[in-house]
Amino acid sequence: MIKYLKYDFLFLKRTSKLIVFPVLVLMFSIISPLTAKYMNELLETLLIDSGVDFVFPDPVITDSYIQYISDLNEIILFVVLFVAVSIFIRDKTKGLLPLIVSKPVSRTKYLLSKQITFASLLFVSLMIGYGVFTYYTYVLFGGTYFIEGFLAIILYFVYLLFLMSIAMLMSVLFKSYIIAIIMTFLGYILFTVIGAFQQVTLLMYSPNVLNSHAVKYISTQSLPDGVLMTVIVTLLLTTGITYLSIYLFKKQEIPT
Amino acid sequence: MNPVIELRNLTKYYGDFLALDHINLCINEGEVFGFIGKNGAGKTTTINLVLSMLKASEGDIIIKGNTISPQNVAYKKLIGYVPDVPIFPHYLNASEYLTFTGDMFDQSYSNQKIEETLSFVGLEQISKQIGSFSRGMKQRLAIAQALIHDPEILIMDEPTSALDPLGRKDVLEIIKKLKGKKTIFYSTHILEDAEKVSDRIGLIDHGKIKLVKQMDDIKKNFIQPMVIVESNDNKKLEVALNRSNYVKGYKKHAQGYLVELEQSTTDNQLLSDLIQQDVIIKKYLPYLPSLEDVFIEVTS
Repeated sequence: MIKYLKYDFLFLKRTSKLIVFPVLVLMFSIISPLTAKYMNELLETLLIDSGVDFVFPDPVITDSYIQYISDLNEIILFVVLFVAVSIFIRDKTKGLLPLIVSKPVSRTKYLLSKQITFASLLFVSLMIGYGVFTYYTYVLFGGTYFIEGFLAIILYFVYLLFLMSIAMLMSVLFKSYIIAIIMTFLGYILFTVIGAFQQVTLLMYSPNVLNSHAVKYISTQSLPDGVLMTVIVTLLLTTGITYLSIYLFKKQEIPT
Repeated sequence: MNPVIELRNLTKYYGDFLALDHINLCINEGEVFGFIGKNGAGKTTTINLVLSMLKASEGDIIIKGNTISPQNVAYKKLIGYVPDVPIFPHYLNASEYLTFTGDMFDQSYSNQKIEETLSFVGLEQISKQIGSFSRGMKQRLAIAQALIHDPEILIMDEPTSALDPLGRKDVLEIIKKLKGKKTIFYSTHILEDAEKVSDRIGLIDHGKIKLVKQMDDIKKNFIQPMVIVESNDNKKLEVALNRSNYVKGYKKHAQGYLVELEQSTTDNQLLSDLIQQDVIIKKYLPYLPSLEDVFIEVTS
C-alpha cells in the first residue's frame, strides 16, 4: 500500500494540491472569525448610511464557529467534490490507467490509496485550519469553544469522507469528468434532500444531518441526540459505497 | 520450442460484435512474433485480453503453462507491455517513472540499473519532466518501463505506428537488440516493420487468424516470383507475355509491366522466351514482393 500512497502524495505535491488545499482552508479559517466579528458592524454602518437605524446584537464566540462551519459547508465542500472526482477519475480521463493495470497492480489498493491520500490531505488541512481559526477566534472574541469546535470539525470530516466515497463511485462508473461531477452533485443533493426529512426515523441519521448536528453542538454546548448513530450510519454508508466502487472497478474492463 | 504464450479458442464479443473468433496461437520462447493485421482486425483486443484488461468471452490464455485469470495478476510480472500511444504522468521524469514502475512490480532498482535501462533506449542523462518529451522519446520510455523488471515476455502493441521514420528506425533497432533475449509479441499494421524484425508472422483479419508462418516460409510459399519488364514496344511485349507458358499473369506497373511467373519458373526462362519472340527489352528486373503482397493476397 505504501508504494501507492507514495505516488499519490507525489501527485498532490507536484500538482500543488498539497499546498493549495491547506491554504484555501487557512484562508477561510482567518476570514470566518473576521466576518463573524465585523459583519454586524459593517451592516449597521451600511444601514445608517441608507437612513435605517438598526442595532445588531454584539457578536459572540458561537457566531465565529457557526460562520466557520457555514463557510466550510458552502465553499470548501464544493471544492472537495471537484478535487475528489478529479483525483479518482484522472488516470482514466488522461489515459494513464491502461499502462497502470497492465502491471501486477492491486485495484483495491489503487483506489484505497487515492482515498486515503486525499482524506489525509483534508484532515491535515482541516486541523491546521482549525488551529488558525481557534487563534483568531481567541484574539477577536477573547475565548474559544475548543473541544466543541474540534468535534464539530470531526463531524464535518466524517461527512466529507462520505461525499468522497460518492465521488469515487461516480468516477468508477463514468468515463467523463463532467458526468462524474454532475452525478456526484446529484448524489450530494439527494442526501441533502433526504436529510431534510429528519422526522422520519430512518432518514434522521442521513449523513447530511451531521452538519446540523455540528451547528447544534456549538450553539447548545451539548451533544445532540442521535449524533453517534448518524456518525455510525455515515461511516457504514461510506464503507459500503467504497466497497461497491472497488468491486465494480475490479470487474471493469480497461482497454487501451 | 517452449510455448510461452498460448491462446486457445480465444473469443471476444463487444455486445453482438464478434471481435475475436476462436483464435488459436502459440508464441514460442525467444522468438519475435509479428502479429499483423489491418486496423480493427483484432490485434489490440488480443493484447488487451492477454493483459487481462479485457475479459474473454470464451477460451483460455496460457502463459508459461499456467492458465491466467483476471483476478490473479501475478503473471504480469513476466510481461513488459509497450502500448501504441504511451501516456505517462507529465509531472514525473523518466527515472522517477521507472522507479514507480519498479514499485508496481514490487522491486526496487538502483540508480545504476535505471540509468542502464534508460541508456539502452537512448534516454540517458535526460532529467526533464515527461510532459516535455517528444513522441519518440515517450515511445522509448515506454520500452524502458517495459524492460525495467527484466521480463521474459515483451508485448508491443503497434509501437511504431505513431512515429516518424527516424523514431520508427530507433524502435526497430531496439527490438533487434532484444531479439533472442526476450520473447516478443509484436503487433503492427506496418508490414515493412514486421518484415524487418519478425521470426514468425501471424496474420489476423476480421478477428480470425488467417495465417501463421515462419517469415522464410512466407517468402517461399506465398510470394509469387515476379519480374518487372519494360520494352519499347508494349503491344509486342503483351503479345509475347500472352503467348509465354512461363507467365501466370501481368499488369501495368510504373516501370513497365509487373509479370507474375508460374511457380517453377525462373527469371531467366522468361527472359530467354521474350528474346526468342523478338521483344526488345529495355529493363528486366526481379521484383521483390513484400509482406504487403502476402497480406493483400491472404486478406482478399
